[in-house]
Amino acid sequence: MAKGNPILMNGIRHECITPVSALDNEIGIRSLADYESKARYVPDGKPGGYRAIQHVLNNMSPEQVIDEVKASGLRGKGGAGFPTGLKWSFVPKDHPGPKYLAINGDEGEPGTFKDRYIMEDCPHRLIEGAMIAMHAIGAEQTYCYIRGEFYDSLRLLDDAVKECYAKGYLGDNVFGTGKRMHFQVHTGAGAYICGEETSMLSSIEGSRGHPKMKPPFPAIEGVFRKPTIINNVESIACAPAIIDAGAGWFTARGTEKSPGIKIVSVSGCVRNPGWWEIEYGTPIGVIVNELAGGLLPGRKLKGLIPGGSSCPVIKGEAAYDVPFDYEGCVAGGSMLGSAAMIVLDDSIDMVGVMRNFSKFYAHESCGKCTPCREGTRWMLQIHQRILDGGGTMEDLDLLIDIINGIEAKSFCPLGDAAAWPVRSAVERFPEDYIAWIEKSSRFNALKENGNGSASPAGSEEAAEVEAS
Amino acid sequence: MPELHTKDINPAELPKQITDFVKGIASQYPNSKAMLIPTLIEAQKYYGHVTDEVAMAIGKLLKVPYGEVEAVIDFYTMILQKPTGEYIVGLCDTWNCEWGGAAALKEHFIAKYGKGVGEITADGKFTLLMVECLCDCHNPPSLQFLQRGEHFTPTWSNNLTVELFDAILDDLAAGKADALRERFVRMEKKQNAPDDRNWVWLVTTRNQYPCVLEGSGDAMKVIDGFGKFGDLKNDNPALHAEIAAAAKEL
Repeated sequence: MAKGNPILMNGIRHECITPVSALDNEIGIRSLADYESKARYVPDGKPGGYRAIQHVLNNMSPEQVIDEVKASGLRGKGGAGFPTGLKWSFVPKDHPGPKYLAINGDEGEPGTFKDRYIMEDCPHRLIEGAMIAMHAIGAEQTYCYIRGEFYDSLRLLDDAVKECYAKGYLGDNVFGTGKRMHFQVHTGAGAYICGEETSMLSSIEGSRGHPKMKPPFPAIEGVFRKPTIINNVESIACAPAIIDAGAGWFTARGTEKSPGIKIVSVSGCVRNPGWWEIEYGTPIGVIVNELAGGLLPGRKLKGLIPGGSSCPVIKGEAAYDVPFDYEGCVAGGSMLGSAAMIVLDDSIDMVGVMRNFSKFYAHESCGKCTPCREGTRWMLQIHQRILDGGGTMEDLDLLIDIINGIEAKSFCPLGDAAAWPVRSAVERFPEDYIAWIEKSSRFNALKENGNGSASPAGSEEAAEVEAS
Repeated sequence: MPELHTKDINPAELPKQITDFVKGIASQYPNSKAMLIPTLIEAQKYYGHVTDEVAMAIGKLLKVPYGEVEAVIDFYTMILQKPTGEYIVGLCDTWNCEWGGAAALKEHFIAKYGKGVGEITADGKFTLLMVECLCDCHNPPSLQFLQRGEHFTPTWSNNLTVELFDAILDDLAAGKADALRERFVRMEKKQNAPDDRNWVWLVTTRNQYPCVLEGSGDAMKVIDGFGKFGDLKNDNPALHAEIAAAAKEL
């Protein structure tokens, strides 16, 4: 374990004891201290200064760009991990156009805080990445969809875009090459579902954020019924680095199937929560104990969610050995998701956590399909009932029954996202549920006279969500 | 129940802020309906909330049927249909913030003003809204103050305690100029310090920072890699004094 490798910590270049190898501050997604000074982001031939896009415009065909990104093995950073280069190649080449690039900045997954910092701290890196992607897929227009709550991100990215238009980096004659490239920051208005790609397209079109049927996939028929490539903010922000330093720079890091670097955001019961840029494959134990400062004094790890609130909970300290990449997290019984690690120590009651998650999904379900719309509310009601002292042992079976009705049966992944963590909690932490149920008056009444007359306690909050 | 329309607004009479906004972005979209949500948000910045009349006028301006406008307003939680206080207090209550103490802040607000979520306090200053994850999970509990005006001015306030929240509300109500300035929350010795300097984890109402403290008292300097605190003593003397006082006790 070498001392003194630079790690970017909360955007601060920082020396840290860690086995993670040094990330190249000149080329990494985030060399914030440098890019923060917008003056540096001028076409000066240095990495980051719109060098990659000029190189692409002058020397590379769209196919070459796609091949380079394919060779880098860059995988989508929003959650699904689909190879970005492959996705770009799906756009029909002979389509008369227009084609669109839509960037997903609707970061709303509880536990995630990464795209926000890219948009606020190095907006030009995102714009340059979007230009590279537009060149690759033959689009002339980018929509960057940012959730409405991010007033700062919206303003800062918009300022950066205006700056680019003023300098001629964007517009009808990009860098004097005669190419058209436009970039529009599009605000959302408070709907988690719009982070789902087809819902985001509905929202850009000015409708309710309801998901659309696939196929046709957005690459064939997306926003305004034209071919559209949808990428996460972080994926797009990787593109300039890949062009600048070559695919080999990316594949030299991470694992074979998950090459490159990833921003991980760590929250919950750790001493120093924050976000770091890490290589894929870094053991979770290193991230929690070395980067995030370990658990609070005297606490033990109870469970860990590696990828945001929609991923299953990994039980116990086995989580420390799980390598933080797509395959490793699946083997460990969860998913990488958006790499939003939520650490839960032994003071945490899993029923309370799941009540909160269920409340979130019940509130955010768009209402289009029945399994998700009804199921998420039922999950909330059952959790609330258990916490209010009205639970019975049958509630555990009932939860699993409801989850079976949601999982893979809802229209879009929101239903799965709501169901997976609850299933993992019921199956891996039944003792937490049973502890509540054994205290419940209804359970004890049933046990004594065999005909439970106690009615389930109503909850104000469950009723609120019900009414909304 | 939606109220009956009392007075129609001619789209041409919409304020310049809104019509200019639409003109400014129109070239980016193939049809005008796509501008609906950004335009409604812009109208909300101007009016504070979106009334039926404003929604109708925007529908006419963008050639979107009123039913579709209403459907959009109904769907998106950030489009407010009722008036709010001067400051919207958007408090996150997703798990990290709940664990960090969001419920105590909510209870305190309700006890302090006797007004629930979505209501305007008697002095017209505040409306508390519960919002879903603000993606600030490393600084719980997290909330965003939005000041109404020609634009909504956002200010993050994180890592809050009930005492700090109370003080901020009082300062805002009293119209103090620096009510929303960054405040000191707590300081901890840092584990895994990379060198022998005095590394601390500094928590403020904006963020958490790994920092080195040099010197003490008035001459104390706060060094972070970001350079944010480079000239803290002059930039934010109140915060500097708070940190200096806490550093003495550390």
